[in-house]
Amino acid sequence: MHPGRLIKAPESFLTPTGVHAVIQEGKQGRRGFLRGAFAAAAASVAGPQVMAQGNPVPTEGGDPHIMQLPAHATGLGQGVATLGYGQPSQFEINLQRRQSPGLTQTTQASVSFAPLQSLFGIVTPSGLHFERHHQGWWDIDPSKHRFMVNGMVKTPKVFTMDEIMRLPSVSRFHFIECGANTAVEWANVAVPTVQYTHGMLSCSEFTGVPLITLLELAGADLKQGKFVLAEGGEGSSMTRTIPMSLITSGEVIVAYGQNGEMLRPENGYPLRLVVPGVQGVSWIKYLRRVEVGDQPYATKDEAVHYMDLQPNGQHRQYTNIQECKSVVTTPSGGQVLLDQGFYNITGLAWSGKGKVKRVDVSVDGGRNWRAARLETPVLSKALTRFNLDWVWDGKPAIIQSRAQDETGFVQPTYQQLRAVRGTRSIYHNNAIQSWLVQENGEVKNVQVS
Amino acid sequence: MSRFLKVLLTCAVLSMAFTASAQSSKYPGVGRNATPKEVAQWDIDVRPDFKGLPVGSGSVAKGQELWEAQCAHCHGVFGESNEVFSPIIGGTSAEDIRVGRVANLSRPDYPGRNTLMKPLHGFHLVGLHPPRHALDSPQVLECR
Repeated sequence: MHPGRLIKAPESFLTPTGVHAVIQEGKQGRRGFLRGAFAAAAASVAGPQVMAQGNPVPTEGGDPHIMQLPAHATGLGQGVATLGYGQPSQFEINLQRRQSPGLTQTTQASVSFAPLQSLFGIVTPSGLHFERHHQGWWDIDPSKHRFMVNGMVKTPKVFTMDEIMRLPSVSRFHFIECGANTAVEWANVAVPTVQYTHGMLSCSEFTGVPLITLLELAGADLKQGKFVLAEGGEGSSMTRTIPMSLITSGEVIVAYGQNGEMLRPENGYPLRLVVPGVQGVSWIKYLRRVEVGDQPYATKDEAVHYMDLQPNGQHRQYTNIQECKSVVTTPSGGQVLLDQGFYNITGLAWSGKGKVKRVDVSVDGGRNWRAARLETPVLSKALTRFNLDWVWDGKPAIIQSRAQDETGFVQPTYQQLRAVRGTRSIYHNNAIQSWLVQENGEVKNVQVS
Repeated sequence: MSRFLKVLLTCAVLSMAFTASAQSSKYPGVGRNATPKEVAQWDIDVRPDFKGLPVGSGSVAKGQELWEAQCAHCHGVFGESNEVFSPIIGGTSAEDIRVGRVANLSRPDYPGRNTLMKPLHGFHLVGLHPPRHALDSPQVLECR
């Protein structure tokens, strides 16, 4: 059996010229593909080449990478604190969050997608966290940032960052998914790779103060005050209504920490709201104010955006919770399986309603399913990593994953989802994703009717 | 009053004062009261029931002037522009206003969906939205 080998998705590793070269050469057979196409593709790559390679025994009887000792085995390496803040390897430079070409006309009201196809486990490196800005991002001086609580409270209060960071803190892992994740796929296949189909998704350990603590300090009326308006401090004045029940449960956090350090500016430094299970737009960045009220606020991004157009022309509003969903990240669109043999099918599953209970994987377009292994930790409202052994026999295969959460909710097929919600919605597409592995090893984004 | 009683009373009073201050905050020294001025500066949201709506001023003509100076750059003179963002207006009819439903929203072949097709049933936030092309300008819009 050959060892499983795989070329990562082209967006991460090749220029458009390189992608073209790889595909052209690939069509002429695998040997040529390996030796010729890669040389051609590699020649056009600006960054260093980290690519799938064969592992043959050379005719001279020994791999030169074994036979000849490299510099790092014979020389002296670099000293401590050469970099005060460490960087990824130079060989990983193509691992980037990326914009979808042509999706938006300004970069300040836009999106960048996390490279899910190359991430491991459940934590998204902070520098690769997806971005969604409504009026550009800022690096705000924390000594000048203020947080206000007003509305139905005994005394409106103002807090500095220092004061918030003196309060008892909690640290929790949660996923954040944009309500518009997978939006372009509602009617048909639109984008080639998992980075663009599912990349408005990230998971971090967030540290902060439960919002209920700050509301209590202001003497909030928790009986009449059924809703909280959360407001950002940057130019878009992003505002969203948060139901009080999520806050009194202690789940909603006013967060300053992300993966052990302060939030990144692109993610709301120095203060953001964390609303576990709820779509990303409610996780207000640059959080400056919360107001307690007795009614929902129907803000711009609740009355015009982030709602679901139904087939009958009416909209579903306040569909805040991200329902159970999963996606296979390898093999996934744009990758190329170089040969038959063993592959680890891996992916991510999540639910805004709690823990993922099980994930089933099909390699034949949904006819037969096998239960995947859920890797620890399996946490509520966090990403869960799943894996499944697979030996590819070289024949076409359609790979799917189907998640179920602890409430019993099962991720729907496109057929099931469209039967209820049509195809013209933008938000909250949690359908089962299909990847077609072609005989030549290329993986394509497809939808199974 | 004996010295002993005086001490006892003082202690009692001090202890009451301390209890009162401790009860006012579980976390003494964290946070302070917001001033009415501060709240007024930031509390600019308006609910669908008009709670929070400030006393109005101006005229349609003044609004048009403001729109053309500050908004038309991206959104078009009539809010119809598709250049930078999707259009704000279009696709609605007088009949839609009469029945309260936008007919085009139920047409699968109708591609455009814009702001005014959606909130006919309600009213949304008045906020501060500085125009992107004039971020260094001291002027700030008063409505959007």
